[in-house]
Amino acid sequence: VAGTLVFLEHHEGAITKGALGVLGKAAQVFGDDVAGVVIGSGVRELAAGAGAYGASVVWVADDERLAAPLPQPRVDVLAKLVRDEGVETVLFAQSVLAADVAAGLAMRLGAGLNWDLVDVSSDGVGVSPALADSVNVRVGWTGTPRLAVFRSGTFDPVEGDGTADVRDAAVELEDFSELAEMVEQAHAEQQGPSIEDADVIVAGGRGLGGPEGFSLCEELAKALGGAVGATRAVVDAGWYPYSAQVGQTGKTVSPKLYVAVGISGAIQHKVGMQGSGVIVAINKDRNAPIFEFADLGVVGDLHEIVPKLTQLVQARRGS
Amino acid sequence: MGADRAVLVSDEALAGSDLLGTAQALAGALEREQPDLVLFGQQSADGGGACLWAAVAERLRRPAISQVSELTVEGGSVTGKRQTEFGYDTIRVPLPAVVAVSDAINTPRYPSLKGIMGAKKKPQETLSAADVGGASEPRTTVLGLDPPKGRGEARIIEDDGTGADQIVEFLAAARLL
Repeated sequence: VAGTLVFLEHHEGAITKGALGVLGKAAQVFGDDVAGVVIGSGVRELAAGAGAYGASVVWVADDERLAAPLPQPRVDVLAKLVRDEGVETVLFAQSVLAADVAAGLAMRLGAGLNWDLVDVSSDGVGVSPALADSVNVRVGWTGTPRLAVFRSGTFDPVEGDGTADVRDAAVELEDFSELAEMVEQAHAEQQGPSIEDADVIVAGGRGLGGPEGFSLCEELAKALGGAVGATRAVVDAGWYPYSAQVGQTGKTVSPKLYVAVGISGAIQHKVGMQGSGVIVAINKDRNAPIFEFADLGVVGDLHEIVPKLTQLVQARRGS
Repeated sequence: MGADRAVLVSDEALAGSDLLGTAQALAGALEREQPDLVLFGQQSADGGGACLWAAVAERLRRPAISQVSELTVEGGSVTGKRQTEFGYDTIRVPLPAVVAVSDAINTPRYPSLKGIMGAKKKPQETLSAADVGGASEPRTTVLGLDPPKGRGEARIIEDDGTGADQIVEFLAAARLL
């Protein structure tokens, strides 16, 4: 019995950091009996590499019909694998794709799905923060298979020297799974680290005054070697791309340092970044909620403070 | 807001439904209606799993697109622009289909007084669990609640021209520079 299976999502020829983080957590909690599964087209080479991150077996479903990152064909592959191998636990790292795959799989298998987990134990108890993270809910499953989606950014990948046994997974697709057609993929150009991977995030909100204000965040992020994040309000206003959105309907991030520039700290934003190591906030409104959970808050004009801060950081880092 | 009719699925037997229970009840109601297009919103404010549509689409054996920020319906198919972590995917599915829009799709208008008054005359049907295929036992459970780890005290300063310097000192002391 292959006890635990981790869905290894990939993008542009690499397994995502989030998926590798969940794989590492699974190996730590469930021991040697952890398998990964890579689903796509031309993805065989990715599979072997997952051994270093904790998988003893990696299943590969490599098929042209699986080239586009669409959820329903992935449900077909996973459902067959879970049934054939008697998998007891299937784990996912949160993403737009993974959430759809997990929920479809739960229905197909009649399995329980818990989501937004930040921890899980070997006896099958998960931890899910609720009510804007004001309470941790301990959740469980009434039977197997158990399905779980982990909050993004919760676990860092741990690279070891393990190797994985790569095996082929069967690809048998349902008729309705092949109806969706990927017409076009437009990916944002990536400059510097992505916000999931960055140790430092400089995020901007409405206080920047307009899209041009983001240059302040970009310069500070560059000086700190970090990435730029944004609030939902400014993404909805078209000031910055959705791929940078931090919060309830964007990404959950936990960098070592989060600098919030002109961000009020609405609860929807807070839940996406309050796991950060150190939070520094700059805002002109001293009653902004962000100051209630920042480690250092500076009340003042960001247009004065941020450029000066960038200069000081550059001087200090000799760049 | 514009609906011509409403269907409410309400039954004691459905209280405490988990994802599967909710999805099965919804799918049961949708099977009675047989709509060409099923639309979902971003997520609920309580469970907030943002994945119910995928379970419903699976149950109905229909194609689905989620996190859609732009939507067009023409010629028996629906095309959606899906927001993902990496950018935008444009996906086309034939009808009948399930589509979940993201909160970027629009800003809901306020209902007009005329609309509010008119809504009272719109028909509403209430279905029981038995009408939608029965209730199912939850596959997930809540075991208990714990307080989260809190953050330390915040230090708030007013910028007197040295704000940037104080941030640098703070970051240096925290070994973040």
